[in-house]
Amino acid sequence: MTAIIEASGVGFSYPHAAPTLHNIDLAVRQGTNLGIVGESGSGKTTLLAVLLGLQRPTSGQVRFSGAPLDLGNRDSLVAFRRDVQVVFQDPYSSLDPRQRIDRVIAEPLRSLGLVPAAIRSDGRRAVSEWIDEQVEVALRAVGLTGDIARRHPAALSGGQRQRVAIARAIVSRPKVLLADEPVSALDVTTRARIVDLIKELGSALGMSIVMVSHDLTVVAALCDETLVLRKGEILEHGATARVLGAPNHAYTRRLIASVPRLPNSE
Amino acid sequence: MTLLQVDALSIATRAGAPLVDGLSFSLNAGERLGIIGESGSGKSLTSLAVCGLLPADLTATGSVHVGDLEVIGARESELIAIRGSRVGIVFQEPLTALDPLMRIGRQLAIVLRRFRGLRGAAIDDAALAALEEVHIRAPKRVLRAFPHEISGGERQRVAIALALASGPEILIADEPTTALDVTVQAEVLDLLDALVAERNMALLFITHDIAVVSRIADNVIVMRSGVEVERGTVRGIVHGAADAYTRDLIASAREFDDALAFGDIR
Repeated sequence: MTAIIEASGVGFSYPHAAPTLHNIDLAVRQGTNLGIVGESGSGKTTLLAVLLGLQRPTSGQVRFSGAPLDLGNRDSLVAFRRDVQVVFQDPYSSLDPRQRIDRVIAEPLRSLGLVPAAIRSDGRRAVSEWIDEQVEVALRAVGLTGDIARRHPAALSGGQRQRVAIARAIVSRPKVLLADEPVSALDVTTRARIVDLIKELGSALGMSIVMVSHDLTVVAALCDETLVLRKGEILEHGATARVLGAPNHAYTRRLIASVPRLPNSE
Repeated sequence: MTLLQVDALSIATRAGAPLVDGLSFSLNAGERLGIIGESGSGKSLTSLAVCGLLPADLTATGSVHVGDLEVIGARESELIAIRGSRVGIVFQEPLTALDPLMRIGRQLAIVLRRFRGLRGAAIDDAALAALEEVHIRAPKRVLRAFPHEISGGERQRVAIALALASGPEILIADEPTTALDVTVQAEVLDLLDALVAERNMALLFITHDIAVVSRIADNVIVMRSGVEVERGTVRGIVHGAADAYTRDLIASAREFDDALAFGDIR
């Protein structure tokens, strides 16, 4: 099966600096959730930017649906942005405070021109009805009720905002959802609910999740595969149960041993 | 000996909205108490009230005794006399606790001169010893460095060294490891544990993370929306919480803890 996103031999250096990523190989396949775990300075945020096409690798290649990623071409840009969406860490800075929630969620549909031609030909009213319906479906999918659509981000809690960010990400029915520390700014009870939501949406929508996180527990709860990144290199990559249960690398063992545990859960 | 006695502490906004309501606890030398809560629980306001550091637009009622001093309503000069000498505090973000324009060595020197009356070469020796005590690997380099030139973990160790340099009897640690990488968090928790034991200090540890608190404190108070919902031993609360909210909190933490269970099949 062709990978949706594939990185082969990807390296990245910022100008006048030591390389941030070395020789990264990974593939995001349909139906598999991948966790990318690393601490500060591991290069995980840069890797995410490369996978999102926000940074161009300085060596190696990123492929999307089998072809080299080319965001200079409008058609392939639209296809990529439709199929690969992202949720960021901070729900307080990732939503435009001036926009109502329904506009925030509809933004990918408008900016990518995803309204079907048949609906466009029926006029503006049909277009806005179609968009409202998509927004409604997305809101329901993330467990938010309809009246939130008319509010502004400031009226929402952190957990509600992160649900809105997820609704915006899934409104284009993407194949991959990249999530950059999507729950680390949230309280633990909210965190558990959002992780469950992302997991359920992934399987209900046939969407693969790529979770970038410093938090092993979140990755363990959500991802089939885990990749451990340190200083820009992949230390190990395999099934989550194997990486956590029988880590090959001393650093991975230290990472696991450092996670604070509940008493008596050993 | 009771070092800290808090009775019916309430904190409210000027408009009268209660933020903390009727909290009482006490701490003896060598005792450790955790306060657990999510955003808006009032846990950090409680720690600020103990040092007399509440923002001017909030009012506190009830009683907070640090030694003989009633902190609530105390004059600034009286508060200055207990800050540092009796109560030390370590915050979540060490960058905000350190002066960005002053070398670490000088920041330590100021504390050592004022609280221990040291002068000249004795200050340099004591500053070096203070950094060695918090296991800074290259203490001479760090003494000459500005805060932005050292890592986040080193900065938090420096903040701990500064809080301890004045020889307080009570240490308040407000989410001291939340901003740190997980491996660094484990080291800093071990460090705090050892230092507090060595000096027989009273420790008030504020956190949102029950697994973190279980590594350092035996007793906890669970707070929600400014009110204590439950208190007891960490073990007792993890295994048999009486309150529904506490159970929700534990269940959420348990979900992530269980996800790591792969790591136990070794």
